[in-house]
Order: sequence, then structure tokens, then C-alpha cells
Amino acid sequence: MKTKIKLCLLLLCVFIISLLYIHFLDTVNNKSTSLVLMNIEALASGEENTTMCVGFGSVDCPRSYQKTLYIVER
Amino acid sequence: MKFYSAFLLMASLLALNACQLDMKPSYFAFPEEKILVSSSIMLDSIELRYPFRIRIIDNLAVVLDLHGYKQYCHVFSYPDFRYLNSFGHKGEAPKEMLSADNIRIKDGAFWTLDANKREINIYHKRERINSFVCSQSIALDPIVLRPLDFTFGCDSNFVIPDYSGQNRFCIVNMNGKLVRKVGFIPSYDSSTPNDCAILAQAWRSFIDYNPHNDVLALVTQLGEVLEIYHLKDSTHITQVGIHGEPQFKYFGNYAVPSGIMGFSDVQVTDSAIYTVFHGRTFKEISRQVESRRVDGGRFIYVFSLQGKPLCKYILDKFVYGIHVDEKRRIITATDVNNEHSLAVFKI
Repeated sequence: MKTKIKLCLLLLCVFIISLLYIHFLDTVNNKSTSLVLMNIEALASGEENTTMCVGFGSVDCPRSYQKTLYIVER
Repeated sequence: MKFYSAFLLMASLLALNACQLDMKPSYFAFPEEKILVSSSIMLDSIELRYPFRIRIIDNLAVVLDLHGYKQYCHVFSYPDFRYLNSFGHKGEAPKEMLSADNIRIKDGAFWTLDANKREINIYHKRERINSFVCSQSIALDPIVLRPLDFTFGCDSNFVIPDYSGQNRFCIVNMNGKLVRKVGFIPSYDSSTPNDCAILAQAWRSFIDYNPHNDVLALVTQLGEVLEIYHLKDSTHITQVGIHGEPQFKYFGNYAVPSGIMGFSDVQVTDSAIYTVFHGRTFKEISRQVESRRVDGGRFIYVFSLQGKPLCKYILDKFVYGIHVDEKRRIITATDVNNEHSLAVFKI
């Protein structure tokens, strides 16, 4: 009986550790993906303003902070 | 039996893990829905380009025009809305404004936030004549990274959300100096960038505080998140609607909105929290034909002071800023699609 309990506890520990490891990998992957995406976008945009602000509104336009209706990518 | 207990524990851990990955809606519907029909107040003497905020006190009403031609603020008598005067000249000179982001009334004066100049200006009425002059400008601490909105908090301080993103909002004293930073942006999005400033751009919020009940409400301009803080203790409530947290795309160092336009105004009264909700996607907004383009929200969501959904008002027109008068049971709203009128709803 005691062996069974020990086995259960061991399995539980292994499961929790693997769960935490999977969650850690997931977070790292997400962060690196967004970082890579940000770098690609930064390269693609270069020094030019590659977004366009359309109309009068209340949304902050990137860089100029003029209030605009919506923002589109150029 | 013990095996089953271990299995249950593992299942609970799995569920907990899944919950942490996404922000789940905490409300789906309102227990009450009402359709409100507006009556218009004509403002013939003045042309408003983008009436963004309205404040009313005693026999005065002031409308803030976010894209005003020469001046940002226009004063009317209340309740007959006879035009009295304008103030808040556009310009770079001292006592002029580069932008007008919000207006508040306190101690018989009008207080305006100029985010571009990083100043709060105080306007007093001149005796006997209906003109308003800037009596003081408060320069804000450079630690407050682009002030987005402001309200009066407790202990004669300002509450100011900013673009730093390290905290939810700043407490600033009447000299413009930072007292402390409070809270955190409650994002559960696992793809959230390490750069807090991008997150703060996406979570740009409008705020209001009622000193009678110590309720500070923040509503997000993108997505559908309402937060309630009590400044005198550490209470913090987050309520998320079906549209979830703000959605955006990274574009260089900027967050470009990609989901829905959420809330555009909030008022905390003595008994409830009133908000204007848009709920339209940016795709839908951008597809509108220019000549028939409309802006604003057709919903007023009412929450209890604890954040519980109470009532959803469906309006017959699109509105932007509101003033709720619970005693007279009316809501006065600005309509950015009409240059000459305001809307009044009986509740």
C-alpha cells in the first residue's frame, strides 16, 4: 500500500514539474516570437513613418500624438 | 481513493494553468436593457468640430472641443444652453494650449489638461463679465510620461494615467510633482511585450473619481475593461466584457489598435458608474464611406460601484462624452457627428 502511495506522489511530482516546464517554454516562445516580429517590423519600417492616421478622432496617432479616427499601415 | 485525490489535484492544477493564459470575460450581459430616444439641443451661435467632453455645474455647462478651430473650450448657460464665451486658445505661447485632453470643474474654476505641453491650466471667470482667463499653469513632473487624462483624487491630488506603463496611474500633487505610482496594467495576454510603454499605449484609459464613495473608475479606449480602485485602501476590481482586453499590433515602438473601439467616457456618480461604449471594430470604422462616416458609441453601460453590470442603454444616436444628472434623471451627451447640437436622454 505504501509503495502505491509513494508511486502516486512521484507521478504527481513528475506531472507538476512537466506542467511548469511546458508553461515556461510557452512563455519564452511567445516572448521571443513577439520580439522577432517587432524587429522585423522595425526593419521594414526603417526611419520612415509607415502608418497613416485617417480622420479626426480620439485615438493617439503614433509619433505625432495627433488625435485620429483610425490608423492604417502603408 | 488517494489515487483519485491525486488525479483531482492534477486536474485542478491544469485548470489553473489554463486560466492564467487568457483574460476571461467576467460579464456577458446586462440584467436590464432600455432604448433611449434623444432630444436635441441646438447650439446655433458656435460651431463645434469634435465635442469630446461636457461638464455641468449649477448654471454653467462647458464643452471641450478636441479639435477646436481657435479655442478648445466653450461655455454655455445651463439648462438653456445659451452661448456665453470660449477659452483655451490654441497656440504655443504661455497660457495657450497645444492640446486639450480633458476638462474638470473644481472650486469655481475650469481645469484643463494639455497633454502635449504637459500642463494643467486653471481658468477663472472674470467678475461680472462672461470671460475666462488662465490664472495658473501647473507643469507636470517629467516622470509622468505623457499624461493621458486627469481627475481630482483624494488629499488634493491629481490622478493621472500615463504612457510609462510601469503602473496603472500616477498620483500627482497640486504643484505637479509625482507623489506615487499605483497599480498595474492587468494584462493576461502572454504575447505582451516587455516594453511597458507599448502596453500602456494599448491600455490607454479614461478615468473618473468620486470623493463621496472613494471610487476611481478606469475604462479602456480599446477592448472592454473596467477597473475600479479605492484610493483610500488597496481594493482593485477588474471587470472584462465579451470583447476582452485591448487588441493591438506592434509597429516599431508603437501599439496600433486592431480590435474594437471600446469606451469613450466614464462618470462615477454617488450610486453607479456610467460609461459610453462603442463596440465597433476598426475594420468596420475604416470601411465607412467618408460622407456617411459616424463616430461614437450607441451604448451607455451602467455598473454598480462594485463593477456589477446593472443596465445597458441603447441610444438612437452615436455619442461621445456624457454628463449624468441622477437627480433630474437626464444624460446630456456630445455628438461628434453634429457640429451644432448636443443630445439629451431621459433615464
